[in-house]
Amino acid sequence: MEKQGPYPFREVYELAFPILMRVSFRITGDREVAEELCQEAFIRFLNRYPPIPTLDQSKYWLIRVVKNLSLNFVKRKGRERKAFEKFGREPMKVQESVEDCLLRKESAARLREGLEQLPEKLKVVLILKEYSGLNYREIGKVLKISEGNVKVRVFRARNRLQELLDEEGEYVP
Amino acid sequence: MCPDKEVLSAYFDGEIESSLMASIKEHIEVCSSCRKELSCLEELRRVLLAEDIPGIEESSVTVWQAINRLRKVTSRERIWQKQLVIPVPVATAFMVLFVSVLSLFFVVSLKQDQPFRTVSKIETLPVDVQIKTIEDLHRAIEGDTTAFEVTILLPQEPIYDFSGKPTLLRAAEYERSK
Repeated sequence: MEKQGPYPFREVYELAFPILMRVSFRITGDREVAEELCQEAFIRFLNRYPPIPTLDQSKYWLIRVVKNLSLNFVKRKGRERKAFEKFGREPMKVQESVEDCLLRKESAARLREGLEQLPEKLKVVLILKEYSGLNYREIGKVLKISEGNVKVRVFRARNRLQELLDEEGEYVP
Repeated sequence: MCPDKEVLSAYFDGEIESSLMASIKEHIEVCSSCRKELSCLEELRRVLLAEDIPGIEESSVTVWQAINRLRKVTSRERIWQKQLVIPVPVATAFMVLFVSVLSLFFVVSLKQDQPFRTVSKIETLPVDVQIKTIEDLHRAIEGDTTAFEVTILLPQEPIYDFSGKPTLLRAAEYERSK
């Protein structure tokens, strides 16, 4: 396979694929769909002209594309809820040492439902933070927002998630 | 005093200025409510990360192969569809050339269609039978069954009526109104 930019495509692929796959999977909740969307993102990357000059910029570009493809997919199909329900069915072990934490009594399914309910802006930032291994500055570059904005959104997403779970927790016996 | 929750969240992500890092760390060691907050953040992350996608390596191979297949197909079948890159100055030059050639053609064709082109010399046509009136013409057509050519000679010098209009024009108007 030929080069796309001053680095081999294989290098970009190996660097970006696990991130793209995780981000897309967390948004769509469907592995096959995530695979297809990753493929689409890479094809767009290869067809892009002019090529992106650096490896890091390529990574940010690919994450941005796969994020948009995944969000579009979820919107189009309207399958968000179903996908997350399917994903969250397996019971989760919860660390017992955290006595007072509300999350203790919540299953992973509830948490993911909560994540699903978050506004898009907050959800995407939290997904990128937790699943892509990018720091605030890099997330800012992916989403084209400031580092400070990333910080605020990550905090709000976490806060909102805890609030949502808190509200739901009241109805759990 | 406890740091803001937002600051704790950033501290949890290791995104705090190094000057603040030590003081927050010191504070957390003695503050139980901040420790509780941090453990909630840890728990949140732990649950979110608890399930990685199974077989991400397999997916990686599948997608890589699919991309390679697609690339081969596109490079074999769509050579003529390859993106052609033309620098802006060259494209502009071509456009200018194209437009000027087009306008040249337009001007030439316009000249050819000109209804009132100047005639350098009036040719004298060979005349077999001189017919002066319309009745003579009728008679000639009826009398001769074979096909023949009729050349109508207009007066070389326009003849004007009293109002200054050419008489031929007047006649045509008269015919129409009748």
